[in-house]
Amino acid sequence: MRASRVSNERGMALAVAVFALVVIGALVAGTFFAGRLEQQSGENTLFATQASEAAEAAMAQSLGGGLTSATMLALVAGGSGTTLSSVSLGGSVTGTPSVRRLTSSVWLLQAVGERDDAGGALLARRSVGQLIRLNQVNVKVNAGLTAIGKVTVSGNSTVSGVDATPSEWTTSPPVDCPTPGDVAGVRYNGQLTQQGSAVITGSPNRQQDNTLSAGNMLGGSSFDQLKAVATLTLTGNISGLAAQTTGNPPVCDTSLQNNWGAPTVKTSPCFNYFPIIYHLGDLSISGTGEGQGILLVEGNLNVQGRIDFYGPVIVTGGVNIRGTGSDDVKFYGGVMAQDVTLDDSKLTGNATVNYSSCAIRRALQGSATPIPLTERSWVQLYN
Amino acid sequence: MRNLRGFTLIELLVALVIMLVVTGSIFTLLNTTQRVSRAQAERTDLQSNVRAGAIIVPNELREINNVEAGTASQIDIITPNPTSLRYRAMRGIGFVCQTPTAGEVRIKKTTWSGMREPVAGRDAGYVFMEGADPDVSTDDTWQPVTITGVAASTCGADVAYALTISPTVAALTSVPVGTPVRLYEVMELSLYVSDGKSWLGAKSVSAGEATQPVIGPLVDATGLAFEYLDKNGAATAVNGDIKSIRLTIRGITNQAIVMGGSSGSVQQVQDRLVSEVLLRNAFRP
Repeated sequence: MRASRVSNERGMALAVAVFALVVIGALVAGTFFAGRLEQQSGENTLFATQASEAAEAAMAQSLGGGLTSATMLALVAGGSGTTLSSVSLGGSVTGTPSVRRLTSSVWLLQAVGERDDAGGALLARRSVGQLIRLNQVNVKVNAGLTAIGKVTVSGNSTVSGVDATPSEWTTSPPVDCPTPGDVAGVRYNGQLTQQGSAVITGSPNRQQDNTLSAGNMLGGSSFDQLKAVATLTLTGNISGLAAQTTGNPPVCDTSLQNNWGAPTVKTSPCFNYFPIIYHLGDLSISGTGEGQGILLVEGNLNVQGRIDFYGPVIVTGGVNIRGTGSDDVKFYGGVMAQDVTLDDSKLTGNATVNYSSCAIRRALQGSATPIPLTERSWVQLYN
Repeated sequence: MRNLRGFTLIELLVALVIMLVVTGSIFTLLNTTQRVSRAQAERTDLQSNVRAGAIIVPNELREINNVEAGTASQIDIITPNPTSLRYRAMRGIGFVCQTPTAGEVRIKKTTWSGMREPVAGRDAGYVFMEGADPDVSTDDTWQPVTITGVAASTCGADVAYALTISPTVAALTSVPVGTPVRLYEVMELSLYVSDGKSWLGAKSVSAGEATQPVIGPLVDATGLAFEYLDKNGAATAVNGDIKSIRLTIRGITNQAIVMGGSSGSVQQVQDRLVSEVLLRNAFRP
């Protein structure tokens, strides 16, 4: 009987203790659960923010130099895009940018930011984008040859304002060119002399413009503004031009003074390399080869040999282009010379200056840098 | 047999006293635990509310476009007030998949990226227009369009949205394939009072909706505050000059909770979170 009483007393104490422990345990567990949920919610917010920041960083890196005009111009509107170099923010946070061309002048730069755990499992992903385009120098070429001072065209030279597209650019895949439109052959504010078998064509062939001056000849940017964005500064004369590559897979070797791109070789890595070339002082170009971009000479320019150049040529002094017998000098784009106190502009031998809106556009676009559209460029993406 | 007669009065009294002490202790412990638990839950809700607000609102606002001295269609901030904001909220982007007519723009469905599908009447849009000089960006514009219909359609073999544009816009016929189209709806965020409590309220002005509570409760009168800052970080009252918006959300617990244990005061707890939203499309390249 005594044993029975002891048993009853133990049972009551145990029941009370268990009840209290269960209730307290439930409350504590609930509190911990709520706290854990709150912590996880906070962590998820943190991961999402890290992914967003990684995407933003990837986009900033692309716009800051990772994305070049060559990459952009190599894309076809409506085609697939290309992935750019990714950004790592501490190992488990990465941003991967890509770009695709929407129209001839607008691209979508997209960046996907991801936050992984230590095992590589995805914790958060965010995607943002920017509508971008190319920011190019503001040069308006309104004639095959534009000059403030005297212009002499002699020999078998040709100056043409008839919009021409180099034949290599019309074969498949064709180069994206603007609708052709003819301009004046020679636009000048001085004296124009045509001698020998020289030909001047255009719409009109010759156009005297008394308003033409050093201040308005380039159309928008000043010469100083242009040289400030030069990407290739020459240290001496050029004897021959040659597009060269480096590395494997090969990329265009942009460190060379005489590599000015490969304007007629679509398969070359240098096909979309458009340097803004600047030289202080008189520049002499001789030999053979071809190049493209924007050529800026703060002095006089002498060209002799078999040289083809695609893009605007802007010279503060005089221009002397001289073909030699069977050798030709062909400038596709436009030549603009500002007469100072040196030579007048001369074209002799088999020299050709042919206006080409396509060459100008490619050079201006190719030497441009990507920038966001002026409005509504930043986009929150959901895929 | 004498042992079976029960407890003495003394024994019962002692047992009762012990029971009272034990029960009282347990009750006190349970009560304290329950208060702490409830306070913890309230604080969790409070912090979640404030944090959610600090995520939702910036996400809504950061795509806003603004142009100093711009036109009405360039300035997405429509009515900025200290406790409310009416604005154009971007809802998605798509790309023209065939040459538009003056009254219809088609967007390939697989290129659409938005928080939801386009909705006629609720959404309006902007179509990018390349300027006369394709080589410069300064003459680019976004053509505002009113969308009166959204229908399933095709672009060749691809599924597309056909957006009916009314009134018609002749300039759309010159828009090339691939051109971006952005859709938006006019939204309003405000400090909204319902059932005696304050909330962050939102409504689609475009859809003619009534304000709906989004998060809360917030502190009365000061629970939601917008400050509009210009490029120098100074307050501005000029809509087009606004480059960033400083958002302050002050949350409050739904119920009063005990502060500092069982002997602490009982009151509603407040928490505040301030975030500054840079308007991504208010800065010109």
